[in-house]
Amino acid sequence: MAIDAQRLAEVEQTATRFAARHIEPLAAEWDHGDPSFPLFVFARGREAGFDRLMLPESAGGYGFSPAEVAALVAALARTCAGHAMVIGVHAALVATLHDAGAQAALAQVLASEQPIAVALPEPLSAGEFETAVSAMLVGKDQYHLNGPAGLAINIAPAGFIIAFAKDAAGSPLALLAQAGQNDVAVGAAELTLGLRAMPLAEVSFADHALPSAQVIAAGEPANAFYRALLANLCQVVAAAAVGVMQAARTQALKYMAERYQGGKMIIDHEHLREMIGVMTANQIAAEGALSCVAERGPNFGAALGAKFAITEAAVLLTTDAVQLLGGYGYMRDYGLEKRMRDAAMLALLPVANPRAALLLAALEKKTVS
Amino acid sequence: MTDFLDVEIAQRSLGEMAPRMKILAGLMPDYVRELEAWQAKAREYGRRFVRPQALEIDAKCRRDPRYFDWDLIRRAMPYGFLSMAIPKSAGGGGNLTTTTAVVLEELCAACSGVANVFGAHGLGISGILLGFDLYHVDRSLADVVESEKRGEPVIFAAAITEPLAGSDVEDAGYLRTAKLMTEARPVAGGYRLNGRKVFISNGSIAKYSSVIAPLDRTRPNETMSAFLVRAGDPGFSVGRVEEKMGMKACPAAELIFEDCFVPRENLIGLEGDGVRGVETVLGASRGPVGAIATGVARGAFERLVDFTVRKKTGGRRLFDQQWVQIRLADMARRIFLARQAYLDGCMTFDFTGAPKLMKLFASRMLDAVPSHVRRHPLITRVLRSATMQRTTRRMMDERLDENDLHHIQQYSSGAKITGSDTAMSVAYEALQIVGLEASLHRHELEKIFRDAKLTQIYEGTNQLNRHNVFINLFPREAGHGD
Ligand SMILES: Cc1cc2nc3c(=O)[nH]c(=O)nc-3n(C[C@H](O)[C@H](O)[C@H](O)COP(=O)(O)OP(=O)(O)OC[C@H]3O[C@@H](n4cnc5c(N)ncnc54)[C@H](O)[C@@H]3O)c2cc1C
Repeated sequence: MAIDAQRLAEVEQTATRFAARHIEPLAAEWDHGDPSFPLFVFARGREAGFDRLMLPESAGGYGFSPAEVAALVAALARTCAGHAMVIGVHAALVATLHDAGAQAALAQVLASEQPIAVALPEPLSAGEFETAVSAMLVGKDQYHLNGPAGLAINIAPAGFIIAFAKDAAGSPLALLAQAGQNDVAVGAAELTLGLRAMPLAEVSFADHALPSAQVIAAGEPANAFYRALLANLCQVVAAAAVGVMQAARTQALKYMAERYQGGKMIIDHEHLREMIGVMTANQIAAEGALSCVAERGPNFGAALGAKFAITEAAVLLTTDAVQLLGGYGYMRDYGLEKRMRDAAMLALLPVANPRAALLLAALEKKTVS
Repeated sequence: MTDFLDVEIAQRSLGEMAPRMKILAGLMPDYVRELEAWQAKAREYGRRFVRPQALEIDAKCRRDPRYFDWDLIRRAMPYGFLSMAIPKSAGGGGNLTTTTAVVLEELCAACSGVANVFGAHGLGISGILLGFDLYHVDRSLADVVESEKRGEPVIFAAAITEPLAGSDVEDAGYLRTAKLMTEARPVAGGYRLNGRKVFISNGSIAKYSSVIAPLDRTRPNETMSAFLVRAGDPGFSVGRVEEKMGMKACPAAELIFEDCFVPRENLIGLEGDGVRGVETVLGASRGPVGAIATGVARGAFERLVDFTVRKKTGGRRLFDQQWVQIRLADMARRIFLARQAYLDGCMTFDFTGAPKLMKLFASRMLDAVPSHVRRHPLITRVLRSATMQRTTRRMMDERLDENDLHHIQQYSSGAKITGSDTAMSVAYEALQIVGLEASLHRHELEKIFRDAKLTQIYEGTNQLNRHNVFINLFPREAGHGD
C-alpha cells in the first residue's frame, strides 16, 4: 500500500492537536485516579470521526490506510498511551466487525455512543482460542451464554463487549454483548500497571440470552475473526508503543541536555551517549517495523511479529529513559515512569509476547510441514 | 492474592539457597546458625504481617504518599530488625552486613517497600557504626534499642542526595565539580546547616537523619562531614514527599535546612571525613541493596511459580509446558547468582573491611565497657577527643588493606548491579509469562515490577556502580569520566 506522505502528516497534526486539547489536560489525572472509562475523551474522539477511521468510505468511514491509523495512534500515544488505546482499540474493533461482514453488530455500535470492549480469550496454537463461555442454542434464534469470558479491555459501564464462546458441539463463536444488561456481569474496573485510561474488568455471563443476530461469526469464521481482531489490535498496540518510545526518548534527551553531573551535561558522558544511541536505533527499528506491517496490509503473522518486536523495544527504551533521569525518572511528576508502565502493559496486549512468539512459531511450522 | 506459602521453594533454608552456607555450617556452625535464625525471623514477620498488607499499603500510598504504616513497623519490634546491627554493648544484636542482607532478602520477598524502611534505617545508622562513633552509639543508637524494647520504633534516614547532585555526591572523583546546595558552616558551638536533600527514604518519618554536608561548598572533598539531625530541630523541615512508581510503603522525602543549628556533639565522626565515610558506608550497603533486589526477584519468582501451578492453557498447567519450565529454570539461576553476588559483597566487607577492626583488642575492650559507663562525661570527653578519633582513623588506615578495600568496592557494586538487573528481568519476565492478568494490582506482580526499577537507581545508579567496579578493578590506571 503506497503511503501518501502529505496525508500522513495531516493525520499526525490532527491527532497531535486533538491530544493537546482533549487528552493532555486529563492524562495524568486519569492515570492517578480510580480506574474508570474516559467517556469524555471517547466522545470527543467520536465527534472527530476517530471511531470510523478504518472503515471504507462506502461504509460511512474515512478509509484510513493502516499507516495513517498507525500515525494517528502513535501521535495520541505521545501524549497518553492509555487514551490512544481507548480510541485505537475501538476503531480497530469497528473495522474488524466491518471486515467480518457483521453488519447488524456494526450498525448497532455505530448508532450508539458506546465504546467496544473485547474479552480476550487465551490463544491456542495457530490462532484458535480457548474460552470458558458456553453458548447453548435455545430455540432457533437465541443463545444462552454461561461462564467467565475473562478480562475485557476498554470496558465502559454500558459499552459493547466482543466475547468468544463455544457451542454445545465445541464449535467457536464470536459475539457481541452489552454491559449493563441483565446477566452480563462486569466486575469493577481494575487498578492496573499501566494504560489506566483504558479500563480492564472481568466479564462473565449467567444465563444471558443473546439473540443469534448478535453472533458475529460461528465455526471457522469465528477463528478467522479472532485472528483478524488480534492482527488489528496488534497494529494499534504497536503504534501506541512507537508513540510511547518517541515521547520517552525525546524527554530523556531533553533532560540529558539540561542535567549537569560529573562535571558536564550528562549527554556528554560517553556511556550515556551509547544508551541514547541504542534508544534511537531501537526507535528507528520500531518505526520501520510499524510502517512495514502497515504497508503489507492485513497479515496476522506480520502484525504479531511487529507488535512483539516493537513492544519489547518500547519496554527497553522506556526503562532506559527512566534510568537516564536517575531518581527523577522514578517520580510521577516527570511522567516517564508512566511511560515505562504503559510500555510494559502494551507488551501484554493483545497477547503477551512469549505467547505471541509461540503463535508465530505455529504459523511458521505450517509453512514447512 | 496468590498463596506463595504453598510453594516449596519459598520454604528453603539458607543452606539450601546458598551452597556456601552448607559448607560453612561445618566450619563455622555458630555463624551459619545465627544467620539462619535471622532468616527465619524475617521470613516469619514477612509472611505473618507484611505480605498480607503489602497491596493495601501500596494502594493507600498511591492516594497519599505521606501514609506510613506505623502499626506494621511496630509489629516488627519483637524481631529486633531496627537494632540488629547495633553493637551488643549498646543492647543491639551486633550483626554485620551479611545478616542484614539475609534479612532484607526475606523481607523483600514479602514486600520490598516495607523492607526498604529497614534498609534505609540501616543506611542511616551505618555512618555511626562504621565511623566507630561510640558517642552516638551510646545515645541515638541506644535510643533505637530502648525504644524497640518498648515497642516504639525509632527510625533513621541517610541524607546524601541533593537536587542538583545525585551521582556526584556518591563518588569522590565527581564530587569536586558537584553543584552542591547544602553546607554546614562552622559557628560557635556547632554548625549552621542550610540547603536541601531530596529523595530521602524514611525522611518524613525518621527521628534521626544522618546528613552529609561540606563545611565549605567550594572544597567539598576536603570538608565533607556527617551530622545527626533530629526531627523537630529548629530550622529543619520535611518538604515534599514524593509520589513514586513503587516501593511506596517507604516514603521518600525532601529535607529542608534553613539555618538549622547542629550542636558540635552531633557531628558524626571527624570533620572532613565525609567522603571516606560515604565510600565506606556505600561499600557496606550496596551488598544489602543487592539482597533487596534479590528478594524482589524472588518475590516475583515465587508468585509466578504459584501461578503456573494453578493456571492451565490448552488443558495443561503452565508449569508443565516446556517454554515455561525453561524460563523458570533460568530465572532461578539468575536469582541464585544474584544471591551469590550479594553474599560475596557482604562477606568480603564483613571479613576484610571495617568490621574486622571490631575484633581488635582495643575495640573489644571498649565494647566490653557497658554503655552507661561510656556515657560518663569524662569518658565521653576522651572518646570524643580529636586524639581518640584520629587514633581510630589511623588504626583503620593501618589495619585495612588497600587491595581489600578495592575488592570490597568491586564486589559490593557488583552485587548491587547483578541483583537489580536480575530483579528487573525476572519481574518483567513474570509479567510476560502470566500475561494480561499480571497487570492487575491484586495479583502483586505488577507491584513487584514497579518496585524492581528502584533497585537500578538508588544507592548509586547502575551506571555509577559499573564505573565504581572499573575504578576499583584498575585503581592505578583508572581516571574519572571520559
Ligand atoms: C525512591 C528513592 C529513594 C532514595 N533514597 C535515598 C536515600 O535514602 N538517601 C539518599 O541520599 N538518596 C536516596 N535516593 C537518591 C538516589 O541515591 C539517587 O537518585 C541516585 O544516586 C542517582 O542520583 P540522581 O537521581 O541525582 O541522578 P543523576 O546523578 O542526575 O543521574 C542521571 C543519569 O546520569 C547518569 N550519570 C550521572 N553521573 C554520571 C557520570 N559521571 N557518568 C556517567 N553517567 C552518569 C546516571 O547513571 C543517570 O542515568 C533515593 C532515590 C530514589 C528514587
